Amino acid sequence: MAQASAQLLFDESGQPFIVMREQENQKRITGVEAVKSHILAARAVANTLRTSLGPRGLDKMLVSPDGDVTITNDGATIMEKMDVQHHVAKLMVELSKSQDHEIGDGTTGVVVLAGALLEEAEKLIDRGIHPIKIADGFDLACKKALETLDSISDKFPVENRERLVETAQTSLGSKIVNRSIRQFAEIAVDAVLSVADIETKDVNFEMIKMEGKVGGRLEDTILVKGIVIDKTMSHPQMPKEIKNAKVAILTCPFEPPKPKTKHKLDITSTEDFKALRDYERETFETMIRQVKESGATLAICQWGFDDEANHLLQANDLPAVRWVGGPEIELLAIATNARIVPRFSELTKEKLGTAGLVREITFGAAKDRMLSIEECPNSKAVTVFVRGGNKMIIDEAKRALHDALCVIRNLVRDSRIVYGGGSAELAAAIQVAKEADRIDGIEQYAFRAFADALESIPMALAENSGLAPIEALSDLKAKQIETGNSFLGIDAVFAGTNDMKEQKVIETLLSKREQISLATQVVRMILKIDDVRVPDDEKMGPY
Amino acid sequence: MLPVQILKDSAQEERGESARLSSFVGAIAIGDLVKSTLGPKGMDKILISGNPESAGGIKVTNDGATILKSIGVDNPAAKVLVDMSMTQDHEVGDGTTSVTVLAAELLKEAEKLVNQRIHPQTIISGYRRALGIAQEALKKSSIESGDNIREDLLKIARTTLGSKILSQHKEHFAQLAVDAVLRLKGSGNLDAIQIIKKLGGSMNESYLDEGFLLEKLPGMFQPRRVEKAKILIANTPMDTDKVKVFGSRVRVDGVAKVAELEAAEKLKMKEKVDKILGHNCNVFINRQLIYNYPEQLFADAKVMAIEHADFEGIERLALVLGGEIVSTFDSPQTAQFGYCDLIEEIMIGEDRLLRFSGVKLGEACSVVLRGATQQILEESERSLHDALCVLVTHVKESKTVAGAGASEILMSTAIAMEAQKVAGKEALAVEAFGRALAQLPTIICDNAGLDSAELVTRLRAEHANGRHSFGIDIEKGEVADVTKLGVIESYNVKLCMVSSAAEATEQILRVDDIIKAAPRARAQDNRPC
Repeated sequence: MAQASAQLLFDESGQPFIVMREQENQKRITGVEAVKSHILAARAVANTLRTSLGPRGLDKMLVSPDGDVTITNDGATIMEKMDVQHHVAKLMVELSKSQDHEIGDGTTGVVVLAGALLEEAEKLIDRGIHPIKIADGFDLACKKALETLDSISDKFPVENRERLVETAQTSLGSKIVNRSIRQFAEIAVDAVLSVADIETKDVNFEMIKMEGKVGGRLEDTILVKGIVIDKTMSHPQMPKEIKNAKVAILTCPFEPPKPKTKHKLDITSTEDFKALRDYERETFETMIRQVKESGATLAICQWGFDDEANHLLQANDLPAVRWVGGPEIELLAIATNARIVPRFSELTKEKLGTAGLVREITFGAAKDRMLSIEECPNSKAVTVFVRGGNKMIIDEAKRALHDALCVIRNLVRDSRIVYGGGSAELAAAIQVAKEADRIDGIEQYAFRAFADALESIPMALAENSGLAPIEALSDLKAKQIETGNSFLGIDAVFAGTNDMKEQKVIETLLSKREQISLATQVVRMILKIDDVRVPDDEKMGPY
Repeated sequence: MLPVQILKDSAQEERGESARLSSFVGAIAIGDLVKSTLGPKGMDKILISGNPESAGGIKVTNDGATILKSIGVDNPAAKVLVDMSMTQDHEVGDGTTSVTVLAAELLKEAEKLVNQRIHPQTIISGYRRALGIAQEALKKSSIESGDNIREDLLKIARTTLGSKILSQHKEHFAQLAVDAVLRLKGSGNLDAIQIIKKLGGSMNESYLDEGFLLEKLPGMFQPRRVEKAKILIANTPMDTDKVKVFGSRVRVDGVAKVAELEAAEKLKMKEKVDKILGHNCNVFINRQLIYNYPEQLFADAKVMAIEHADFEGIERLALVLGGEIVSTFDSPQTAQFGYCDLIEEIMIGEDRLLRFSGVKLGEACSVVLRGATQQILEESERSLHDALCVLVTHVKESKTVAGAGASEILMSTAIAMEAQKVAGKEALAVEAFGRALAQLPTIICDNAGLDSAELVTRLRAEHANGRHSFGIDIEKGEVADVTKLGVIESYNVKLCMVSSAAEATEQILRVDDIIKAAPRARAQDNRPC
């Protein structure tokens, strides 16, 4: 580390002076060395995810610090739980997260692509090309690739439910739920369609609730047009089923009032004591009366009830649910068209919501019960109720469904699609490689490297499917160039054809574009770093 | 160049073959652990709790779920199996051992296939296909119970209890469990069955009480026996009944005032008791404490008052007696009372309990378990619970299949037949699934000390010849028509077992990389798992 020791400077009289505070305690790497070490780290992360890509990709088992096990195929989740320490590896984690936030799907692909780009960049650095040149070349190549994607994209009929289901199936194909893929795809499509606003191309994900309960099989997963909450009636003897319920949604507790200003109430005499007692009873009675008078037949409350209030509710035939969480309250309000009422006194008939059927559902031999609110006037709110053999399957199914929901949402937003199976990447790679020859300057090399990196996606797909990767890829490339057909991809499920249009492997253009541009961005960033200081963590603590 | 460290210091990553190996080893170890408890001649395990605080800390059990719950496993794949077994326990109550053993056998077979360089995904799709065939075959062989449901329930209960500690008295307990479940009238609410464990006596002396037993006693000087009881069930504070308005406190400036306040409090209490008495009930049961002042008032009024009936107890009481749990006492006309013909004190062993007989709703009942040691009692409770769960499941969907290994062999042979029609590498996986299923009866035989190879092959021959009700008669050590012997099982339990085992196997097979985060540094962990 010649450069690092050069940091120690000497003044005229030969006394060393300190440039950086505590520099002897800090690790430092600079120049090509730094870039290379970063590339190594990023590639190591990408390699972990590589085997998860595609319909025959495998899962990762992640053990949390507390020993909980997560089994998943979802890139973003793997990265998040990987307990990464290296700073550049952390960048890759962020990369996958931002793809997850923005698009929701393709979180694995984006990391694998970034890894491939860095691998290619390393080769170029070895040949003496400056990292900035490479970064610029990648940027140009990325533009070209995006153009190509636009040009090969297809218009997609969003109105056609069947086609949407097929798209969802592509997303779900790589997940564990693919045993009942059709059912899950339909659930995802129906859920999105019921909350989507086709005209403004807006899908409000908050209206889709996902609830899971261990037990049963994956096939028992259902879409409830309404809301399921993990609560029961507050009093064990309240009715378990209410038809045509009028719902009052309250955010005030059924308890004696608690003024927010600090106060003290002194009881100094017997009269006070009695008065207070009467007051207390009256408050309860007024509360119940007010609710009752508004005509409500079901009270849903964000807070708890006092025992007495609980019984009064029961005595007055007013079923109630307590401790319903904030987001759920809002969902309920939307679904039932109710207003959320913060004070009993403000409860009026107009502020009540309606629901056709409210019932408690029971599961298995255990005493788990849940409350389902169905036949709501605003049918937009839906709940996906996931069942499965164990907790891990349910969690994974939820993640898979979330991805599928995102895909459908993206389609609603932007109905252009490309075909999967690595066909789009390959088509872009061919175009980028072609373009490379026309470029003068060193960027040409970066262009070619970019094309090679794009090919790594179909390559990984072929590898994971147990095909001979190089052979399969070169065959495919030849075919694409020969026929000019950009729908040809890797036949990962051995369906007998390379035509992805026929296999109905569909991905959204939005997601593909985002993958390529995000990956390029991160790679540019990593290439541009040439100096890192890391404090020795034992001494410096967390950074 | 500096070495690049990506994960945190003590985090680990296992990849590819080694990851697969570690999950196979972990899962198979779990399977082997519970293997020997399978079947009527299975052996029990002693579990010694690592937690010194739990008194004794010893459990003797045969129940797969309980064993797995109590051993702290570290291997992630093993955790998947433990979790699966728990779910089976929650969902259908029984078959927790079988499901674990089956999953372990499936993984053993899968390991062999992986060693032959077959892609895990191919194995998975083969397993899926096999599962479909198995479910189909099982469904076809199932028989609707129809009218003689009681008979079937008895048989199922006997089969389930046969492999437990209660097997010596299985006839007695089968009757008991069936009676209890039938009283539920299909509601499937196991809450209504109360199991009371009392040390002493022999297991034979356990019995089903038609009424309801409450492990509480009335207060002093109150009637010990009430006929034609009119019962008020309440959840209300009966101590000082403090003012709930927030921030209030008492400030007085003299001793006399304190006395006044005390009087007021007392008055308040008395008013409350008077109101309660105004309901004209002769029994009062409260979830919370009753202080001795109100207790004395109740005694004066010749009302039986029972305090501190815990939450479960009070809900169950309300369910049994048909009353309503009340917390305010201003409107006696609307309050719903519970009724029963007779409340009396009875003795079980050395303990006194209250017995409510002639209750309004006949749904609930209490089971009194007797046994020589705490361990026996606990194990009998678990066994009985298993049996009850299975029976309730059966009442919901009353289909039966033949037990004693018959269904496993049935599925296994069905898969073997179909496997011949499958082309490609998948066929190997389909066959493997069939082999894994056949392992269950093999293990049952081995545990009973029988010649498993001989018996299972003979059994397979019978099934291939279309005699699908043949299973293994463990007592005689030969192949026999088990439906004639009355060994049948609930279709649902079997189905659930096969499906969840396959699901868990698939999940473990799909893994090719295990990443362990650095364990959180903390004090000793005594929790299970």
